[in-house]
Amino acid sequence: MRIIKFIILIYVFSLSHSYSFEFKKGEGSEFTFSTEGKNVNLNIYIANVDSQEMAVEFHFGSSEIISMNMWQQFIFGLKDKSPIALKAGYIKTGENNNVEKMTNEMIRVNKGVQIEDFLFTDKKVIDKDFIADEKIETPAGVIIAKHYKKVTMDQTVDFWIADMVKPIGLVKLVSKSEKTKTNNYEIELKSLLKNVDATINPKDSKPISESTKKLLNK
Amino acid sequence: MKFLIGIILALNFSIADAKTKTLRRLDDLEARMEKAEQKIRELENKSSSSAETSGLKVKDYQNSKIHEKQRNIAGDFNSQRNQLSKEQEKAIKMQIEIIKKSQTDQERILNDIMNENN
Repeated sequence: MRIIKFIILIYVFSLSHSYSFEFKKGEGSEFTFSTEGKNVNLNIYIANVDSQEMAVEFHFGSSEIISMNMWQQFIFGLKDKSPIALKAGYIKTGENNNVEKMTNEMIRVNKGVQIEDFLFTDKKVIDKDFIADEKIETPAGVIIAKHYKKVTMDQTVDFWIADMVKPIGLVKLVSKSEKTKTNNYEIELKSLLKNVDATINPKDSKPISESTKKLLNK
Repeated sequence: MKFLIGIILALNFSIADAKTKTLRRLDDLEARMEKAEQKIRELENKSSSSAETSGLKVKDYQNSKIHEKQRNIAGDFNSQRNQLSKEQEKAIKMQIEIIKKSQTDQERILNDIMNENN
């Protein structure tokens, strides 16, 4: 859950630095997410967009012997095409086929790098984390990307973003932590996506169940 | 003695010939497996409608949901892979048995010759 929040932060950060980008429903990115020697497919795409709101859907999936699927959708409030707030979150898991609405507490609490670090900081402050423009080789292709490094007490995150892989913008991310095992992971761009239909329809949502809460807190 | 050497040479020749045939069949199987893998890769790419745009890989889902598409790709891939691997596995096992039998025969013949000389 913390990982998804962190990706949202980068996404928001990436969006807040692009002023004339046109978001298209169904566009996004496919990533390989690696942690503790396991690889999972991560897809992030625009589920819906209008003048006031934008929905971004995340899909975690594994097509190995035991298949695993989980979708999460987050609704951002927009102002002048830039995100101003995270308004709601929904989840659908393979175990429970219902669409469930996450509580406000669940979408706002973040123990890792804080949303304020990206969204509400002065541009000069975030620019201090900029390392260099670098050439990154990914399964999707070779991309010139901006390298940032964010360091907190227990987590060092290197990430690369590029305009050419919008709307998501993320090229690669490497998170390292000596104390917290779950903060050791890597995300790499596999391909860009288009014409993806959203799986979650917020209108079908029910309050979140105890079993899903437990799953998210793991 | 000449007769014995003649038999040994003839046996060695027939064993070497059998080995060459077996190796040729193995090469053939390997080539077929490579072709099958290539076909799987092509099918996988076709299913996901991958395309290179501005040098970057793009997947077009054609207004379908991620899971539906991935399940189809995985299904196609797995069914082909399983079907092919079973056939290939059977053929390779047969080849291994032939090689084993040929080695056992060779050992037996050599032992016989050694005993005969003693």
